[in-house]
Amino acid sequence: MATEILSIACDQQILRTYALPFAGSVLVRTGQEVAAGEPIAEIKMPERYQVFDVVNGLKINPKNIDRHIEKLVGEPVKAGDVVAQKTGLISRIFRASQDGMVVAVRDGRITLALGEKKLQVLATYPGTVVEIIPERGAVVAVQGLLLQGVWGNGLNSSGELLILSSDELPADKKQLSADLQGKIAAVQHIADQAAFNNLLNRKPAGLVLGSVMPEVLPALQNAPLPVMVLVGYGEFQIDALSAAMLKQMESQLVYLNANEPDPSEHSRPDLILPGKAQVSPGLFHEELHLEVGKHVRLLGKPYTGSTGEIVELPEEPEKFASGLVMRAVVVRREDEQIIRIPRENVELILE
Amino acid sequence: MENRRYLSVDIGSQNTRAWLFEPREDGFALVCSAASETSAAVGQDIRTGVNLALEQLQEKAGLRLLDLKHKLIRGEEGVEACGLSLSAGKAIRTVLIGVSDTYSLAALRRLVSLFYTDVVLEIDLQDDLNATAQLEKLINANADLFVASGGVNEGAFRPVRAALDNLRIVYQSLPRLIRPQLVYAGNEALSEYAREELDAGEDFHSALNVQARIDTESLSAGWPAMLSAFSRLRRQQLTGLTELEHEWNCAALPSAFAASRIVRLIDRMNPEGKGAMALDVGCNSTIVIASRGSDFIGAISHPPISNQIGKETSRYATLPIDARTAATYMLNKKLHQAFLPATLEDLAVEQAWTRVRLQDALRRTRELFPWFAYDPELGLLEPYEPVLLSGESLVRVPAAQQTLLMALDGLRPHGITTFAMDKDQLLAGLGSLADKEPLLPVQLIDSGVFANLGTVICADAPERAAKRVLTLEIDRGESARETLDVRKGEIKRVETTPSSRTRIYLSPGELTDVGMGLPGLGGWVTVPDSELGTVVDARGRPLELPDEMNKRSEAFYNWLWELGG
Repeated sequence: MATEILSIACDQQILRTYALPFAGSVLVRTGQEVAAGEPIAEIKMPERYQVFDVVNGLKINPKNIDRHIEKLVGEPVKAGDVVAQKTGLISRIFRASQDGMVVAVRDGRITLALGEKKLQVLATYPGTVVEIIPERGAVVAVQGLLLQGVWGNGLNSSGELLILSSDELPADKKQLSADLQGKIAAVQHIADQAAFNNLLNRKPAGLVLGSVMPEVLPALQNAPLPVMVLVGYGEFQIDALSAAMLKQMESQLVYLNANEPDPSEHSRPDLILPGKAQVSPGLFHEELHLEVGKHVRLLGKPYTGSTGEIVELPEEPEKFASGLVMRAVVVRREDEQIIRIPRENVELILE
Repeated sequence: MENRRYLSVDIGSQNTRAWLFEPREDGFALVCSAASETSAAVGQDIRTGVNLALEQLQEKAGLRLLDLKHKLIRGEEGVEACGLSLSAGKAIRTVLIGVSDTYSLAALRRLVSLFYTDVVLEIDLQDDLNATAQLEKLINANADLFVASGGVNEGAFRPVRAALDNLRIVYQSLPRLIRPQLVYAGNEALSEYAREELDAGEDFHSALNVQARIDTESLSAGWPAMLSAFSRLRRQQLTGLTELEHEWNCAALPSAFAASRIVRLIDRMNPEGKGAMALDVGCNSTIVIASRGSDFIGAISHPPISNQIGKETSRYATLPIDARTAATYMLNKKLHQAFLPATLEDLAVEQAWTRVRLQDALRRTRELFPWFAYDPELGLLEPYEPVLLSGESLVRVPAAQQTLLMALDGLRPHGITTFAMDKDQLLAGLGSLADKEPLLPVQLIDSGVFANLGTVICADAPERAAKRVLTLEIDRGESARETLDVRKGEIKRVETTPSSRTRIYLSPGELTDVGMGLPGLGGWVTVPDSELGTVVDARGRPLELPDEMNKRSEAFYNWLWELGG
């Protein structure tokens, strides 16, 4: 069983790897301060490709094709350059439509790579470059407040954090204006599509949602702005630790990275409030395990969204109400209630 | 006794399992098994999870398997040979290129279906796609694996050559960190041309033609190349795999492929039989494998989540659970894949979803293999025997009768068959050792390593509910024979005893089909002892469930009660 680690931390060294999927150029150096949105690495790639059938296009005898091709493989071309031509009474010419390069001449066909586009990876929060990954990117670190969630739609942005209570979510569309423009809004729960649309109409820069009903998911996925879910699907309160962290971040400039969760890449969506403290390069997290005294967030009805402290880790597996025999963790919740729950059903909180 | 211990490890998406086998007087036996979390699931070196499993294994076995440097001890003192299988890792983004949708692309879909692929693009060379558009599509697919087939041997080759030209540009131009793998499984006359043209060195994998003639298909012709491509990709993607393979002197097989070896073996061990089937429902995938003679079917499906699946799941829940609750559970489970049901309600949703996942996987398998005799309404039309059940969702269950009912509802078989359970989740583990010591899986299967769950007799009759459809006469070799009437809509269980052989005479009603060839035809059936005994499923096909939620859950409760509670 892989214990899930959830960061809800006040003075956390936050490390993020920004890397290209291809070998490219790294644009930063170790120790450099980078701003959100600054490119870390890039690769220049052809904007498009063009395959030209010389034999059929110029109506020539395939045996004589070499006579008609003006450029060789690897040779650069400028827009308007003649790449292949048939001279004579009625001449036919194939010109490059953009700057580029000949990448293949095979079987009577010429392939051109044309134009140039840059593929860049951009920093999503301000920080210090602590490690260079040759040809791919870098690791950027910052010390600050970190609040992780469980789901994100893959987008990111920044803005002042505003916590909206339920009575600040008017159901009536007429009352709405673009009052959230440039702000990251945190909302306890979204019950339906209409409530979500109303929020979108107020033009926030990003949304942090405690929980959402399942039917809203398609709208979340297609939202044009970053959306992060903190607790999960269903109607759940934001847990006390996450709520306290949101309170600490309130009215400050925060960075919302609504990454799609991927445990194998250590990737979770998060909200970051960078601090002023210096980062300590080379300082990495200790290995985390379930231990007495550590805090966990509970999963599964009726506990979803509540947090507590581990008070016991019984060695012997025990039988749960479902009839399954599993190893348990005993947790004292904030309301002092003692809960026995399978070890698989908790997220270990990194504070 | 000669000391020849064999080790097998399966690295799954969540769990890494290890098994140790050794020869005993009556053949190879399972010494013990262990499991740990898959370290690759949290972005670590896969060897971390493997070592944890091996440490547990050596503790359980009371043997030293690892030396002080945590290297596997080999030879007399340690392990003779190792098998390694792998389902961890992201789905392999795959592009298929074929000369027609009906023939070569359909065959390629079947070829890649056991290799944890996600087909992101298909290029049909008969489409009017110009070369530029084809090249753009190939580049934008950002694929890990390209599989091309080039029609029948001696067939047309010009469009294939053009596609290979484009493939060469994709391979040579993109500075991808994970080098894409290229498999060519088409017209053998072009095979050497493809190797030279693509100039991809060890990233090129040539196979025999999977469709050498228009009327034949041999997926096995493409397997060696696919295995080689799979290995090279996973070595690049999973830290520690290359070193582990090198140290253990073995290549990792896709777990589903390794499992398929055992299904084919079981089928071959019983050449007069009905064929063998395995169903594996895990947290990330559902695998259907069936083998009957030269006919092989195998596919991996991923858990579907949608409103419709929520409704279906609600329909199969053993407690009154609405579609929204079911959808909520499924979405949260997708976020927390290790989550296990601790409450009765969660268990009811989990088990209902397992039924729906089985049905969905069988339907998808039918789409890939149109000759697979499965009808979404009527269920599995041709019997396979045994049907082997594996995977966390079917094995990690409070009671065997719950496993059987999930399998019955998912599969909805016809006639008579036997269900067995892979309690140790050994299928892949045995499969990866099959080429190291062929006797090992044979002897393990013979020793009963797969628990016989029960014999199932499906009585299908177009009768109204509660009408008698079958009478059983049970002969336990004792004095008096028992009789048992079975009515439409019921499930009945006949317990077997280890001490005596049980014979059952089936006397079906005029319209009742029990799989003896014709409706109304019965006969004697001899059943072996098994965990649940003989189960008669007279619910009919299609399975009719009450419309009202509470009545439906009551029906499931009653069926489970009949099976043992």
